[in-house]
Amino acid sequence: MKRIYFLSIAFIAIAIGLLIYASNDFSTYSGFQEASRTGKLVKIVGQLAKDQEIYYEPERDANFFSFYLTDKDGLTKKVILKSPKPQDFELSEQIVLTGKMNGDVFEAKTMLLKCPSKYKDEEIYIKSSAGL
Amino acid sequence: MSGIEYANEHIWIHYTGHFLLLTAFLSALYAVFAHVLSIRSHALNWKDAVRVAFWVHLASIYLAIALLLFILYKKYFAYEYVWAHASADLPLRYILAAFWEGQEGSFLLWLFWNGAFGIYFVRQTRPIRLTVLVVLLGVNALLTSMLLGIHLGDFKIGSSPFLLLRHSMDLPLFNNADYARLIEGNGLNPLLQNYWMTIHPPVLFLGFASTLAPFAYACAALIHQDWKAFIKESLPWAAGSAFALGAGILMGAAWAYEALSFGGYWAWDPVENMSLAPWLILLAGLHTNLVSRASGHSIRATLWLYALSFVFVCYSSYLTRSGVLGDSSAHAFTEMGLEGQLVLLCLVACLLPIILFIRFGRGIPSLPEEESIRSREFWMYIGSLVLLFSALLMTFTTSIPVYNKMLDLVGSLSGNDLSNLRRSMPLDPVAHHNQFQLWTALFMAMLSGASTFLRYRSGQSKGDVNGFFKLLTTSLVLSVLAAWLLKWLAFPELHWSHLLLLWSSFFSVASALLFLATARGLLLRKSAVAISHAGFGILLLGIVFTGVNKRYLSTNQFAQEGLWNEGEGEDLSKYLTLIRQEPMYMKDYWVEYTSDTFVHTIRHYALKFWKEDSSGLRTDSFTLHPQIQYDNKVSKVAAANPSIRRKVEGDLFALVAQIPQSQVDIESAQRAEDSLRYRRVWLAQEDSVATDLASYQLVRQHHNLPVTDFERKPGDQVISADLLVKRHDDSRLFRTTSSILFRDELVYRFPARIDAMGVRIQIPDTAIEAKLPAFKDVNWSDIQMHIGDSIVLPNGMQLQLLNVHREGADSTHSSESKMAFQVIADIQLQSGQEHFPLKPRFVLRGNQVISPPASCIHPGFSIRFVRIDPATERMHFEYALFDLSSDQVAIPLDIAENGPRTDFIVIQVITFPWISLVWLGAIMMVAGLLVSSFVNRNALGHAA
Repeated sequence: MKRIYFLSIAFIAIAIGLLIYASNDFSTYSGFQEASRTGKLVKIVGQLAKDQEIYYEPERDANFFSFYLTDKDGLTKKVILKSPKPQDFELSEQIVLTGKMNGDVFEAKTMLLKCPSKYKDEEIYIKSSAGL
Repeated sequence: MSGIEYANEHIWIHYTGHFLLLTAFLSALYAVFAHVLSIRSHALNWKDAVRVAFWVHLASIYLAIALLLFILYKKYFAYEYVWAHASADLPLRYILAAFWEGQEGSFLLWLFWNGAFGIYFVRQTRPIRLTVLVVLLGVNALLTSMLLGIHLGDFKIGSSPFLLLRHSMDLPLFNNADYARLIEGNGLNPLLQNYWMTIHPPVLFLGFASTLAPFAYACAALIHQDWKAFIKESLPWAAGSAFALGAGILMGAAWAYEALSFGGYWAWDPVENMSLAPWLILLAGLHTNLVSRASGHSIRATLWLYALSFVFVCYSSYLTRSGVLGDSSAHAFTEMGLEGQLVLLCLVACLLPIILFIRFGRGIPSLPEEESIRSREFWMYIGSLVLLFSALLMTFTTSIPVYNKMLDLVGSLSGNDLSNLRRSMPLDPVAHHNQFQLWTALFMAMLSGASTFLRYRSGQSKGDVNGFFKLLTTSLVLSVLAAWLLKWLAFPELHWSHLLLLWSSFFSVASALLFLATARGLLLRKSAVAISHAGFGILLLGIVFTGVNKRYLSTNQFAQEGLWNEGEGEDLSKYLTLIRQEPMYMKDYWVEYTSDTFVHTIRHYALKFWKEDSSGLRTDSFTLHPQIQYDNKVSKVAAANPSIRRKVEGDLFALVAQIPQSQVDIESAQRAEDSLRYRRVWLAQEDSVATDLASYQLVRQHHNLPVTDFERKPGDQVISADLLVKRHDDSRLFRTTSSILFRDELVYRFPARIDAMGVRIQIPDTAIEAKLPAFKDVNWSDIQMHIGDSIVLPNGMQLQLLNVHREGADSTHSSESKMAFQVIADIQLQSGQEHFPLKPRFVLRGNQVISPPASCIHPGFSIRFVRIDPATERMHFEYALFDLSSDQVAIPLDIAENGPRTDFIVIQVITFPWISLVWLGAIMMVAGLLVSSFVNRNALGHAA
């Protein structure tokens, strides 16, 4: 057997091994309950609880932002994030957080927002001076 | 709505555009069939048919492109594409950006490049080259089908850029036959209004499109069994394509770094990964191609790698255009409903080489002898495998949304709920990709360094081995020394894996230099290799330096501790709040937010940075200007544009991450305004009033504005009040000015704002009435004028009656009275150098005459239009003068003390040490590829 073929097969074997290893990093969306139970870094998807307080006062601390999130199981918990409040936060349809529970508070490391698309389809702007 | 005859739609464009795209599609398809027939029947006239079809296809595509550019230029908003991507105020320089902002335009860009390549191939006679052209046309047929916009019931083929807005939406507006003139465009996304958007997409698409040439050569080589031509001719194409795609990716990285607020040049975003993966595979193919040209080995590998590279380009298009990435990418296209066709494109790209290989693959020549382990080709082959491997790994993770999609499909077909098997992107994609790509990069650097010392087919002659080991050892020793020295000097905490990477990159650079130094003959070709390989090493150096040493400077040194868990202190507070004109100390630098100005749709901030030496002297002082960009209608913030101070040894990057909520969007501004609780006070000169918070004194009234950038017009009436505010708490004094300006029917307010106290002071509209004397207190004098007459008043002021005109009804009272009209006089008052327009009205309602005064407060002057003598056409007026001492009268002021602060921003400041090496290395890499493309193309010319 040619050395090159042998090497190629070895490469494929290593590749499969590494891909399986890489897939360990693939995450699933969990909820607050699981986050409390495991205490590990998790990814949580949910919606902003709009009736609860959204706190961000950059004059006092630019790196503290807190709000309440309702996870996919309907559980609502307080979330704190160590960065400024992103734009269009209130408009978000869905929020994806990575972080972990600390007591009854979820400490988020990163946050991804899913916002309604930039161009609302049925919105056409009419020229202000329509008489032209 | 079919009964309406629409005006100003320029509907011929709609029909012409559709016709052109349909022609382009059919002619490309026809060429493919003609060619298949020509191969079957060996009939030469079919070849001419292919050529004619190509020219028809090319003309149709280029005319369609010209047509789309034309309607974007003319701003025909009746067309959906124009409406969605342009607006009336879009500058001409962004027309191209608007053209390729959407999916349809970017498909046209792709077709443009493919067509340009076709112009080369259509003039060739060699059979393999004609087949390349036909493969190209086949792909173009698939691409053009994405633009057809044909609806068969619910089934949609393509999305046409020549669709009218009224075809895609159903609005009452379209009952208006002249609706086209009423529409305003949505405009180019403000994030993309940037010179990068003009240059990055064409280069990137040149790269994507050009991967088709090696792919087409691979297919054509199988059909014609012409391996010689394949090996020789696809090489310059592949090198050129690798150059273009590499340059495109590099520009994307530079854009991400300097214009978008990602805080870096590479984020392992799916869109980024899927442009890098085809490039890596193309590079792998380029290397096996070099091997096959030099030794005759690896022809099969080259075929597969070139084919795979284009397959990955198609797959990349599927991922970014079908909407499957959803929320996992920051910059995918918006969905267009083309998923089915994109899958078809991927399938065709996959199946075509597979079928051809099964049918014709047996003819690929393979050498009986093995590559020697001491030969260059052996290690280049290994290097190609590493490149492929790297591409597959990043694609594997990036494809997670595709696995989910397939899972859903299988689930819905089998009736099982498989949603618990769905996965999402890794929690930390950067760490995920880095842990693998660090090793592939390390191997690549080692192989690229070591293999340059080897010779092709050197297994047979052992003479070189000594020299090889001498050079290898030299560069190994050099790089180990350099890496250790650097660690000792600069990075004592360097992780061992980074040290290894550092060492391999030094090795790569050192061996490239030694390779060039010891080169004999073929200097240009070898220097291309050396430049690219050294570039790769320098790029890795830059990545290690910046990646390991990227630091957030914007942390408050005095921030409260204990808010967060211990051990997470390193990313505590990456942001810093700055109050205007209050210097703050952060890491390394003092920073002060000195000012901000608002121009058009952009708020420009001035951030002053400096260091202080022990004696308090300012050193290293500089100012950065980050921006906050609003959307085209200035209704909300669209983007934060960072500002970068560039130096060879590192960049300092500043971004305004947050501004006061009341400046973020119109709704918040309105909410902030509505929440103010104003109380009204009346103050005359020197009067003062006290509240619980402070005392307010009116120092002086005048007619100047507190701002300098407001353009005043003749006739503007201004009331300004200089105020002195004293806070009770600390007796701190604030001087401020509040103004109001009246211009015809408009009112402009310039409220005074004391952010430190949350105070707003504005002058209400009614102030102008307070400034005018009561009607009965005025002594009116008569004057009479004809149109055109000028009169000099006793005090030297000059009055001129310019014109009079009649209006049918007094518009403000028309509901009360049926029989009403008014005559308006155009009068110009001249006082010194200034002149003021006045428009007194003579209103007749029923049998009642009303003559409201028209006044200006500076100079104090009122005039009424009292009578028209119909016989002599003489106009009778009454005027009154009142002197400037009316500045002494009390004026109303509205004071609110609960305003939010508007004088702060939140900033992020990051240093990127030695990021210049990243750019230098990357530019060297692609430059080497460009040289290599030219060298190999010229070699082709000599051979032919």
